[in-house]
Amino acid sequence: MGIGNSLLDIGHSKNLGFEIMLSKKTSNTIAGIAFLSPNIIGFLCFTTIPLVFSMVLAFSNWDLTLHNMFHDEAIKFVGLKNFIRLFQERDFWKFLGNTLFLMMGAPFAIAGSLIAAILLNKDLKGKKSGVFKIILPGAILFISCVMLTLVGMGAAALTILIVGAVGMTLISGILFGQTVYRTLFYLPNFTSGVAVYILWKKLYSPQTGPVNAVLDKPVSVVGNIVNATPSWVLLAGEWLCLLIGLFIMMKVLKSLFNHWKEGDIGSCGLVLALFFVMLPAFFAILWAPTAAMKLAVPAIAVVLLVFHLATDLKTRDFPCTIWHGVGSGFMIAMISLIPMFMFIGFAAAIAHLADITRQTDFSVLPPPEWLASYDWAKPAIMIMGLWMAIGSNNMLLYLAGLSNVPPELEEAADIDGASPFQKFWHVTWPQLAPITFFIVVMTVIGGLQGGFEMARTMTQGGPFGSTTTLSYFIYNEGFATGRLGYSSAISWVLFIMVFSITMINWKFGSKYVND
Amino acid sequence: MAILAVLILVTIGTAMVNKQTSSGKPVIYWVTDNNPARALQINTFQAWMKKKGYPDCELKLDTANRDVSKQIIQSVSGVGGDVMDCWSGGGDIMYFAEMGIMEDVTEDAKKLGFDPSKTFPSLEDDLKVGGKQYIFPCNVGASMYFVNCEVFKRFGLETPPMTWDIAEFERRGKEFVEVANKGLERRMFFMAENIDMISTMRSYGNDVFNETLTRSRMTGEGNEGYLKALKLNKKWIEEYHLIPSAAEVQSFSTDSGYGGATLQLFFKGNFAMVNIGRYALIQFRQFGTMDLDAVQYPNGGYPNTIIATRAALVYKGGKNKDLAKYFLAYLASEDYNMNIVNDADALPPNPEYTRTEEYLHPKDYPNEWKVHKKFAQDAVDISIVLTKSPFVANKRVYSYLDDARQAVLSKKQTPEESVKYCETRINEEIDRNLLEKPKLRPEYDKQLELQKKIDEYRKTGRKIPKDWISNPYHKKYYKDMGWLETEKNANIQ
Repeated sequence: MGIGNSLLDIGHSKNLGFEIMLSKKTSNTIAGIAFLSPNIIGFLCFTTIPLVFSMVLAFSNWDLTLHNMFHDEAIKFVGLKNFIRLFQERDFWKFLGNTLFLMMGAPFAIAGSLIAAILLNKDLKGKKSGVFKIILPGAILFISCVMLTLVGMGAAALTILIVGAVGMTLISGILFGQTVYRTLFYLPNFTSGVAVYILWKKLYSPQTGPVNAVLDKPVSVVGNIVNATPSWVLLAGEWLCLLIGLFIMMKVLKSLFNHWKEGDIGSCGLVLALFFVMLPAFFAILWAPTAAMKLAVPAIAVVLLVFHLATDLKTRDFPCTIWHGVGSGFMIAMISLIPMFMFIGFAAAIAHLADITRQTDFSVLPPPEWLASYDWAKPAIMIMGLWMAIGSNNMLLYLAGLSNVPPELEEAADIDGASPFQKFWHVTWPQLAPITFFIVVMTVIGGLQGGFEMARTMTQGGPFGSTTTLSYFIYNEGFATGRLGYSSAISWVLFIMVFSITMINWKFGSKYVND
Repeated sequence: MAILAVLILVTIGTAMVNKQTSSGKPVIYWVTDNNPARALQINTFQAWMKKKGYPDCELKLDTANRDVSKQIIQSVSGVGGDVMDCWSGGGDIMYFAEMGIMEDVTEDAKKLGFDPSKTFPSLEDDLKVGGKQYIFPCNVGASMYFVNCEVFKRFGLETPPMTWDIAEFERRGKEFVEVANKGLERRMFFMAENIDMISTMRSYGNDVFNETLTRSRMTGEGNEGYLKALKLNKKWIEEYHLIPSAAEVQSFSTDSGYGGATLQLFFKGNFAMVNIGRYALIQFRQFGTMDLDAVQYPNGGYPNTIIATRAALVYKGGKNKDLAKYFLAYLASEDYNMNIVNDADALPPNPEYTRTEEYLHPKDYPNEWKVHKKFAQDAVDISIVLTKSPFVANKRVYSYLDDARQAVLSKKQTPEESVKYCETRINEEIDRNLLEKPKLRPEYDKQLELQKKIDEYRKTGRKIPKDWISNPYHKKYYKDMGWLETEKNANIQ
């Protein structure tokens, strides 16, 4: 009995221990859930449920004027009607175009934040020789500007102030090191979006804003030069720009086919890259100034492509799978698009400038009307976006990434005699690939979803809908007409676009990062 | 645990402190703008309620939710303010009525004395939707051109006449900008800050919609009003520079106060005239003394102006609807109206008070005496509300009209293309609405039948029965032209 009892006791104590263990585990789980629950509940209430709800709405005819607590009309399931209507709506395509156009600034913004991060990663601190060196010239500058303004020379004061501010910033950096620049560059991020937009609205004021005050003289000079230039020289300039664009295209095509031959890019990657590389040639049909150019540019581009297809597809040194290197092909195409579009744009700009100087009743070329002009409103917003992006979180991410680049790699490159650019291209840039990938994904998502605050604050979507983005369109549909079902359908189409692009990025971009 | 305890204590403390500030009386929340005049209006309301022996209550301002999108979301969710301001101009009333968030106050208005007879007759079409009254004006705006007489004097020119046609405006405008801008590096002086596109269109005998509000009718022979307005706007901005371009306005603008920088620029003389309601006097009085006059918009044959109101509605889901209705009655009272008269916050809701000496000749502002009577007179004689069709989202309509104007000025469309675009978009929107809201169809078909009859009658030169017409513009225009057969009723099944 005693033995039996003691065995029982042991068994009991074992069970007890197990129970204690179990209850410990359970209590740990409960504690974990309890700590997470505020977040989970918040996420469920304010994200998941509205998300599911909006998805249901997208297939319904929910209209605030028909369905609310004061109307008992039943909400009907309308199937894909909202989506079909959306794709038939001319505004949708226009506003999608606006959104994509504004996103064209994204590569520049990413490049800007990278350049800013590289600059800020270098310590420019010079010999410290006293705060007075910055305060004294600052005070003199400020007093001079006030005096100039008082005697009615506001424009001159403004120019001096801007030049002086830039100079002072440089001096501050030399005196106090990179911290000054890092703080200054990151400042826009501390300011609320709406305040920044209002500030930029003032900066863009066509006749009294500082931007045009600074641009006024240089633009006049350009106008005078354009006026004085014989028309055949301008035409030659336009051709030259287009030919440079085509030359870049030729080089990129050659490089892409070489990559394909060497097995760096598979057939799918090549096709995708070729599609993008050929785009500027077709945009030239819209943008090129003369009919001859509209015809010649795409024709030359097609000839180049056919030539490469005929000569380079015959042999392949290192075969690979068709999906291999899609990300690399895409990146090469994207990078090459920037200079190609730039040169086609230059050609169009030369022609446009000549037109304006001929048409204007002023003796000099007027600076842009920015937000008041249909053609300039979008570029104005892009420029502002670029300014905001340079000092954004992207810059901080790049800064963090740069500090993680192993110094031994750079030292090795130095020993091998690499130039600063080679060091950047072969050492730093590959090390930054994961960060770049993350930034690209976030920028694309932000770009597709963005534009609402800017449009509402700066332009109300005008002139003539030129700055209305998809997000502003969703708001207008929802609140100006009460069509919440339709508005949700637009949101879901936007989501599908964001999701698809992100998936493509993950599928191919992450490979590129890991490579 | 300690943190939790502190939080609980703070919560209890906050609740207790707030309890002390509450008077215990029923509270009416008034969703309105953050205007300094509201404090006095609240005090007057409390005193008026007491004087009248109405139930004791407290009126509190809710200035954070005046945005229309907030009003909509809160109202359809059951948490709207008891009394809400709404602007009749852009079609909010029609929109709110469609949503059913406004309390029908027709019967109470008769009982408490704030029915349409207590305000400007031309506003009736804005106060009622489907024959039911939903709102009463807080103040009334009938726009005219304010004239800065000193500017004309400064350049040795005559002040414009009260009524003038397009050619006269153009002649005087060209003369003004030539004299005023002589020798300047860039144009600094303009005849007016803008033209009213709708009034200009209407002055040619046309409106956005037809007589029964079933279709937009802006193209075709005899309907060129908006086309003419677009062409004039373009010519006056780009060719004659009588009014500033969007870029010139932005260059001036500092966006402060009502009407942005426009009023300061008017005071300084950059704009010889500004197109605005009488409420602009609130700011003019702050600027200093300025010799003011008011003139009508130049017209293409039919002088007219637009009348609109910032009105108050009673929220259907409110807890204190009965008390809120007293607030609307208060808006018709002498106490409130004299507040508006003295503040110069547009026209008082009740036109009776525009005949008082305080309104016509305010003691401290003799420089304004030429202005007051003209505003009141025009609100009675030539004003018409903006047309709103029950078959379309009216905000869309006015945004299409503005799009058309911007498209022409941006050189993206010719005026002809632009008007066609606008008409097509509005009619497409009507068709879409009818598809989505089949309940509208019977009434729409009935109105279409009437429209056919009207068109037939018009062709043969016969007079039209008044009841056939729903469009407030056509009601007045046809009446003034003598085209109405007032006694006959429509009898179409």
